[in-house]
Parts: sequence; C-alpha cells; structure tokens
Amino acid sequence: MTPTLDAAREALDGVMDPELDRSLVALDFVQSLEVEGGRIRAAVRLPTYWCSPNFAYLMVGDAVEALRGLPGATAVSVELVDHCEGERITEAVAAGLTFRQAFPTQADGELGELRRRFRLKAFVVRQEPVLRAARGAVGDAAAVALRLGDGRAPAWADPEAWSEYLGRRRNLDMDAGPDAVVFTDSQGGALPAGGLADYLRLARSVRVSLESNTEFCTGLLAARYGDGLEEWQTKEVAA
Amino acid sequence: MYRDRDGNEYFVVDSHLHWWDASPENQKNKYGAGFISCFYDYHSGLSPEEYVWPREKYEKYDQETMLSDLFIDGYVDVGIFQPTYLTDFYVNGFNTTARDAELKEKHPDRFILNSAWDPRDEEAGLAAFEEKVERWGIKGVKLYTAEWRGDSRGWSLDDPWAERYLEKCVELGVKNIHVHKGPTIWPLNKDAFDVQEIDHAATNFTDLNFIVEHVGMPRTEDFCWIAVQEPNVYGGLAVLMPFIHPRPKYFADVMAELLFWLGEDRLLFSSDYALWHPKWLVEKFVDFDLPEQVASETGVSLTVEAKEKILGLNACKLYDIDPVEHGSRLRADQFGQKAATGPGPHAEGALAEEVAT
Repeated sequence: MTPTLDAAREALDGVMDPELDRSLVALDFVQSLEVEGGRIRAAVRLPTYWCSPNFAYLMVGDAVEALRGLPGATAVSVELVDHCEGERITEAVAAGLTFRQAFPTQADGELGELRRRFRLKAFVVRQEPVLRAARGAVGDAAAVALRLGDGRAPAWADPEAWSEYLGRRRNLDMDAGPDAVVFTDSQGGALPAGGLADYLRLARSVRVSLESNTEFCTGLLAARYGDGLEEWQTKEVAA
Repeated sequence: MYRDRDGNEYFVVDSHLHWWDASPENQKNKYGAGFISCFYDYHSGLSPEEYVWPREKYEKYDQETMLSDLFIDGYVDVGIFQPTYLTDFYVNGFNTTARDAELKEKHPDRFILNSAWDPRDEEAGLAAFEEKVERWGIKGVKLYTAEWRGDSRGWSLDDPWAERYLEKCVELGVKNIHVHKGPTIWPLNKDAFDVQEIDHAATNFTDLNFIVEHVGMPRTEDFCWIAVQEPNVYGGLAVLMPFIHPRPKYFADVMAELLFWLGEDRLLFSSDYALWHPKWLVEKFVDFDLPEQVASETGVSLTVEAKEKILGLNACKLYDIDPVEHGSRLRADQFGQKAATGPGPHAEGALAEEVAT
C-alpha cells in the first residue's frame, strides 16, 4: 500500500500555523506536493523571507511528522523555500534535530512554551463565538454551568464552530469527560456568570489581533507569489 | 495640511519616515537583498495600484522625490525620521541618522530627526549618543530591541545598561522613545513580538513617552492591555494604516480596539514612507468611518476630532510643536506654496457633486 496524493494533502491540512491557527493548506503555504510510490516531497512557502524561524520550524517539523505518519510512506521530505533560514531548517528537521540543536548560538530553549502560548490564544478565539451563542440561547448563568455530556453540539451551536472549539480544548489537555464544564478560561478556571461581558470583551481583542494578523500574512503571501496562488503544483506517480 | 470636503483642516505629522538606500551597490549580503525585497512586498501588497513604484526606484529614491511626495502631494506638514541602521546588511547602513540629517539640515522646519542607541555599546555608546543629541537637538529615539549582534540575541528595556540609556534620555530631554515591536529575522525561540518589557520601562520612567511602533502588531491585544495601564504608552500606526485600502474591515476592527483601550489621544499617524505614500493614507483615513456594527459593539467612534488628533495633534504635543504658529510658517515655505490641500469645501470635485445632487 502506498499513500495517495489526497491522503498527503489531507495530512498537511491537519498541520497548523500555530500563530494563525489555520492549516498550511488553507493558508496556501504548501507550494508543491509530490507522491511517488512511498516517497512524498512537499515544499512549504511563507509570506515573507523573514517569517519567524521559530514558527517556521514548528510548521516544517509538524508537516514532516504528519506525512511520515501516513501508512506506506517510506521517505518524506519537506523543504522550506524562499526563506532566510530555509536550508538550515529543512536540513535540521530532516535530521530530527531539535530547534536548539539547529540554532545552537541563537536559541536558548525549545519551542514547547511558544506553542502553548499560541494554543491558549487559539482556545480563546475559538471559544468566543460559541460562548456568545450560548449566552443568547440559555443566558449567562446556564451558559457557564453547561456540561460536555456526550460532546455533541447543542442545538443552538454552530456544529463546525463547536467542533473547532472542542479541538482547541483538547490541545490544552482539558478534561473532556461528560461532567466537564464546557466554558472555562484558558487555564481551566471557572467563568463567573456576572463577568461574561468583560471576559468576552477581552476575547474580542484576541480574535481581532489573530484575524488581522492572518489578513496581513495572506496579503503578503499574495503580493509575493502573485496570481495563480491557489494552483498548487501537484504530481502523483504510481509506483 | 489637509482640508476635507466639509472644510475641516488637519495638521499632519507623519511620525515614521525613512530615507533609505537599499540599492544593490549598498547591499552587503543576501540579507540586504532579502530585507528590501520583503519591504517591496509590503509596499506592493497593500498600496493602491497607481502608487506602486518600480522596484529600482523603491530600492533607492532621491531627495526630491521624497520632499515632493510628503510636502507637496502628501499633505504632510512635519515628518519624523526614524533611523534604521542595519549595518550588518548594508555597507553604509540602510537609513542612518547621519543620512537623514542631510535633509533635516536643509529643511529644519519640515523634519524632526530622531536618533538611536543600543545598550550593548555601553559607555562608549552613551557618549556618542550624547554627542548626536547635542549636534542635532534630538528629541526622540528609535530602538530595536530584537536586533542580533555577535553572540547577543537582542536586548531588553529592563537590562541595566538599557536603564542607563533611558536615564540619559531623561537627563538630556530626549523624551520620546519609539520602540519597534514587529518582525525580526533571527531564530529566537521566544516570541519576538512580545511587548511585556514596555510595561516595566513605562512604569519606571514616567517622564518618558514610549511609542510602540506598529501598535505591537501582530500582538495588538497584548499591547492594548499594557497601554491601558500605562498613561505614557502610545501607539504608532505604521503598518496598520495601509490596511485601510485592501482590508478596511480589519482596519476598522483594529482601530476600534485601539480607540477602546488607548483612546484617541495616544495614537500617532504614520506612513512609514517609503513603504507607503502618505497622500492616499491621509485621504482615505479622513474619509473613513467605523462600520455601524463595529461602533455599536465596541462603543467607540472615529470623529473628526479624533482624526485631527491622530493625524497630527498628538504628535505635536509629544514634540512640542504649535500647529498654528508652525503651520503658518510652513504655508509660506517653498513646499507650502505648491502643496495640495485636499478636496476642500469648494474644490472642483465637491462642487460638481453638489451641483449633481
């Protein structure tokens, strides 16, 4: 069994830009993808030559991991193109180095904390629309007391927004049992029914920041790569 | 000076300008080429088509172009130079205080010249900074905390030497500290956009104003939450401004956040020239209204008074400019006599519209 192009694309669709909380595929960061038997080659591009190497490292690393996880994948390469540290990142990730090993004089730690920091923001952003809907449907007091139950979306919730929110909850390893409270702050603390408006005011700021950053990045990517951005170069060769 | 259709007048201070040389002859290495190429994408990606320059012009533009873009076509009354040295990328630097000084000396009423320091220069840097302040009457500095140098991975405003420099600023009356909080190029494992250190510095140095350039983008929320606690923290709108053209919805959203948390007294207009041309930024900003939904959800509005402050009056306060007295002098100078002033109350376009309706 060998992986298909579709399977490879789907795997990359599960890899997120940690800062923008959107997938590399949705952001058009995948420049090309080739599957040839068990060999998969992908090229990743970013909005600027200078995009933070730390985030780039996480994305390239996650992409390699996702593709290696496909059944039948025997050789995976992900190249970071048109980037000030492209070669070094490509080679270091392929060799399985940690970030600090890749940049021994320019980094003094690993990227776990950075990733977590942005997962906390993503949680707040994905929670906001669901919590607003809950307030409207059941009121503040009932909203903060809601339990997860079987995890299915309540009738008042947009199913997609609900599922995205639950995904961000899982990323933070929050309790997902039936008795777990649906809406907490990003540290898992209880939300006061009387303070929801203030809480949501802060959440709005986080969302606006993330959305405008996403717009900026996609605009720069379009300026850099021009028309035809959506046409990937893909190739599938039967083994 | 810009005059809108209703006759309101705006004194315009462009608080973030560059006069750079990024020509191939001045590029030291691939980073120099990559840096200006990235700037060019910012420029071409967000400008209206008719304002996009050819790449060659963008790499190095002459004095006449800059002067006429700002002071004749662009409605700018006074511009503030924010130097960007980048001597690791460019043989003679990208945009140094000395280069900017050439224009400042020729047109003293039109430019405010800021300088820069780096605490890693320690004692010798302090003396050199003091010399620049005396020579050019410097009132502000532009700082790059994330600049890599040798083994150092940047510095923080909390560092003991940085505090020495800030004390020196207080002593010399250099009261405006512009801090770049934006993209950096070195592979730090930390978030290079982090704005936390501003909080500490602003608390410790209440005689100084801290202008966070690019309003902490892309961490505007973190910036807002610091600024709301520190009355001497300001937001520089460079890079956010051009959103007004291709991404007006997001411009409105971010402006509403800034107005909500900081208010209209602590925001400074800038074009980041030559990243973007002030003419279209000023025109579109004056015409801009927050969408009703954004205004009602956030409870803020962008009034004529707010626009006057943001476009110039706030910067006038920081740099001790009297817009009336200074403005009348400017209108008589070589640019003032030729300068465009906008649609005005009875300009052709406005009149035609009135007739048509």
